[in-house]
Amino acid sequence: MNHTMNSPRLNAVKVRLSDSAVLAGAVSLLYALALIVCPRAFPELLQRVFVWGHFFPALTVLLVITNEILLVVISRRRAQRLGLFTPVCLAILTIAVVLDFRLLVYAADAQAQLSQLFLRTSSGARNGISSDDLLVYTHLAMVSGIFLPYLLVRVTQNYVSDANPAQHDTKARTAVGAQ
Amino acid sequence: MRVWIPIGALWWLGSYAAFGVFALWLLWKRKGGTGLASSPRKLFQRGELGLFGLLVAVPVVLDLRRSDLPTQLILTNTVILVFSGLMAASAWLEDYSRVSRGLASPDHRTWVDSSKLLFLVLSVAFTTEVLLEHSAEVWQR
Repeated sequence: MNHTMNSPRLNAVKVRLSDSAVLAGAVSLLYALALIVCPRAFPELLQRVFVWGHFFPALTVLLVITNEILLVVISRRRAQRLGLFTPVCLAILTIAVVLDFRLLVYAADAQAQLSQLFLRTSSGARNGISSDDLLVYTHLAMVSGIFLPYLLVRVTQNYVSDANPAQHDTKARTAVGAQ
Repeated sequence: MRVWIPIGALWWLGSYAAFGVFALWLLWKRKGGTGLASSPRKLFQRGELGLFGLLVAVPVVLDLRRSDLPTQLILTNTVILVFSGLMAASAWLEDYSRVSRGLASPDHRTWVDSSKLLFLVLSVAFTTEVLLEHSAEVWQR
């Protein structure tokens, strides 16, 4: 076990939640700014892209590229070795998060279409999910697509590093003793 | 292009930032908190900003519940907000656990983590308020 823990294979880049939190927060603020500057054009653009069918592929590519760039920046800043495993995991987790939101949005779209078809609850120009709902879903997908994959990677790293807590306690107590 | 000003959301953000962080710091300074604790960084060095992040998430969740959004959207937004708030509060909890176990407390790391996670919660909460105000105002003009 100790041999496994000390092997260079596990000396991969360590991410912290605060790294992705800053990026997710900045993206969220930019989203709010876009809505403030273009209160009508921005939702209509999103709706148009959604109707064309390019919405989720574009969102997936954007988030995967953003997360990978952030991982490279983190590893360079901390001078740690970036293997292949973490970027691949991060990309898969990002795609999984966006897929979840895709299911949610399509379910909401189908529900809205069905309610308009049978109950005639809305008199909107286009049947389906409303611009407001799509706006909120997009915001949540962008924030979650950045924050949640890093959270899962972080939890996995905690799990690996907590495999030998006695070693951690000894190190920390030695540091306190040195102070 | 006509810019829309979300007055309610800006007022919400300003009041929380003013009363939650700066008023507390000023109060501390007036009570004689000079020297080491004279900066927000020293005052919140144990990750208390993370706890404040959790407190910020709660009123936004209540606003979401009062909105006209679909139930699944309210639930998703609530989960993400509460989760961000809990992660922010975990910065304080981690530091508290370390200190109570007699371990060294990484003050710098706790401050950085809690302040950045508070930034995330504030950003998501502010954007949520903007979105709620947008759905209530812009399409009804």
